[in-house]
Amino acid sequence: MKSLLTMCGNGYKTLPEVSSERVSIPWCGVSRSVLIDLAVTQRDEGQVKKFIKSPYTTTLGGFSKVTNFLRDVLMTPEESQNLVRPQSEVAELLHDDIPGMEISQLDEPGFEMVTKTKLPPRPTVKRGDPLSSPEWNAFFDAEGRISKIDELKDIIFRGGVDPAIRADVWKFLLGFYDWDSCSKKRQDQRKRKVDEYFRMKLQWKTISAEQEKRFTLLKERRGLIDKDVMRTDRTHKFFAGDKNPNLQVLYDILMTYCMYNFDLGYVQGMSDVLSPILVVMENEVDAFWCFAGAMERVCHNFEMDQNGMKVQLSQIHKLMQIQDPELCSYLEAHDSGNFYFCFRWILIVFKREFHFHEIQRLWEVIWTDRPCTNFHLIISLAILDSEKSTLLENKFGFTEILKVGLC
Amino acid sequence: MSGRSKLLKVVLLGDGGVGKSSLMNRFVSNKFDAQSYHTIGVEFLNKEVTVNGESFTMQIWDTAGQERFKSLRTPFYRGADICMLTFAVNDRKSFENLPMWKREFLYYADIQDGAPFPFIVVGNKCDMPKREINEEMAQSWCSRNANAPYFETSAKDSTNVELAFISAVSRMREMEDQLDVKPIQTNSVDLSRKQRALNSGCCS
Repeated sequence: MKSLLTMCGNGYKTLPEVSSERVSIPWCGVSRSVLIDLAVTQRDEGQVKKFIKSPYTTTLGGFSKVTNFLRDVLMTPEESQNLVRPQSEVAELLHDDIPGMEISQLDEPGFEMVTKTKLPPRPTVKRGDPLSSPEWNAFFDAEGRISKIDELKDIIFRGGVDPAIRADVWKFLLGFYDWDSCSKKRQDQRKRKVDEYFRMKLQWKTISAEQEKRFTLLKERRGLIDKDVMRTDRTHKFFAGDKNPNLQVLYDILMTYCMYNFDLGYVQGMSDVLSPILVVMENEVDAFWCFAGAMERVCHNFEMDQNGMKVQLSQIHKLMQIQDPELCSYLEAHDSGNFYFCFRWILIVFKREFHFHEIQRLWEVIWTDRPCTNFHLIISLAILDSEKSTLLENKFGFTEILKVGLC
Repeated sequence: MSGRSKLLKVVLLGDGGVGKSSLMNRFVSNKFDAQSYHTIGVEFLNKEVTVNGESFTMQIWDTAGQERFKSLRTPFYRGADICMLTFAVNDRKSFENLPMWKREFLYYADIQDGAPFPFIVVGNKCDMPKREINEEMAQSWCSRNANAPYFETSAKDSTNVELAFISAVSRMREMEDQLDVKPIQTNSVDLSRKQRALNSGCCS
């Protein structure tokens, strides 16, 4: 029997409010008889009785909680509003018999609460080869337009990009160029972006020292950027040594970003986001716009109220409740249920947790938005999974768990 | 020597870039790296010390200084035994922010207003030629703030770093004694106190 979700064809949809058992199931067009078919194959007889009595509540009440919950965590709000998703993206998430699932009827009368579920065995995943230069070139048609964008993104997701063509590919991944643009349009786009960049750069460049005395906010930001530029990836050859001209470029881009997004300004961590991009682009204007594109993805991490960070940390928590209840309860029992120890991972997307070349690979994979926009949360789970035995066997406490986050 | 040393939680606070991580690294591993990364979130390191014959494990908590990260920094203030308020002597703004840091700490460490707490004030980067804050200004602030001990340090050339951290422990023990708040370890209180009295006698 196939997964319930697979059968539903058009994927996740929010269940309508149910006021009676007679309600039809507009959700997926699955007829009641199909649902009964589903139910009778269930081993638990009690479940079947309950199912026949109130099929809708019994089957969907439990499942919807899991599906809704996974949807909320893995998709951005914009995506969630677009409720119909391609079947390929949602299939096989939940299998019919869901081994290890425990259901409680006590918590909410008339509904079943999934109190425990076990995910199916992990599929074996094989990494592909990086996108090569000839492969990349073959994707362009006569007008310089990329054909088969999805296929291209799949390759990048599976294998990353050959460093030799990174600067070109990243411009698409980071929105410098539109995916469906032709060569002509890209020439125009680039010209406009160059002008725009220097216009914004001039804005802060032309503020005199006198003027800045009465412009505290800008002065403070300049001070912070000044300090952080001197403390960003200085061991990397691109930024090494005193009076390295690339430090000035890093500084200029961050100052110009303040003008581009004055509401956000400069927040610590942004120099970490910029540095690998600048190293790849080796060009101030390109690096600026690609940085702006990368920031677009993570700007909520840097907002004043830090709500974006808190939401993501709680999403990791929710995902782990499903993915690894054992580790999850362990962390909860050791004052780490808030997942604050993952703060740095999320804020700058693992920048300080991996080597420079590894982070470039990881980021280009994440930027494909495959298999979901919140893939970085799954990566966090994967890291914790790899640390699980160390954590449990050594009976790590609160401070040691925090150290795991800093390794 | 008692078998187990008492854990002391020390929180380092101050504006971004005043040298909190550098102070910690100088004290714990006697190293200085001018090009090290700025701190994101919180970090901590442990260091075993013996002060007046008593052993302690100092757990030093280093925090990100930017205002924005307040909500993720402040939960770690609870249970602190010592707070080091840091600024850079070549950065007036960082000095002016000391009251803000003190307030933030007292509030989130949940320490009653007016209750004595061992604060230590550290003016870092005293190796820098251009000063914006001189010693008198800093001392004057400290005298208005429960006479907190003040140290001018340089994590870069190692000036007074060890002294500041060790004095922080002495300060804490003095305050504990004055208040007679709590015995550190049951059954061994009297012994350790005698020992301390003896030690200080030797030194003076």
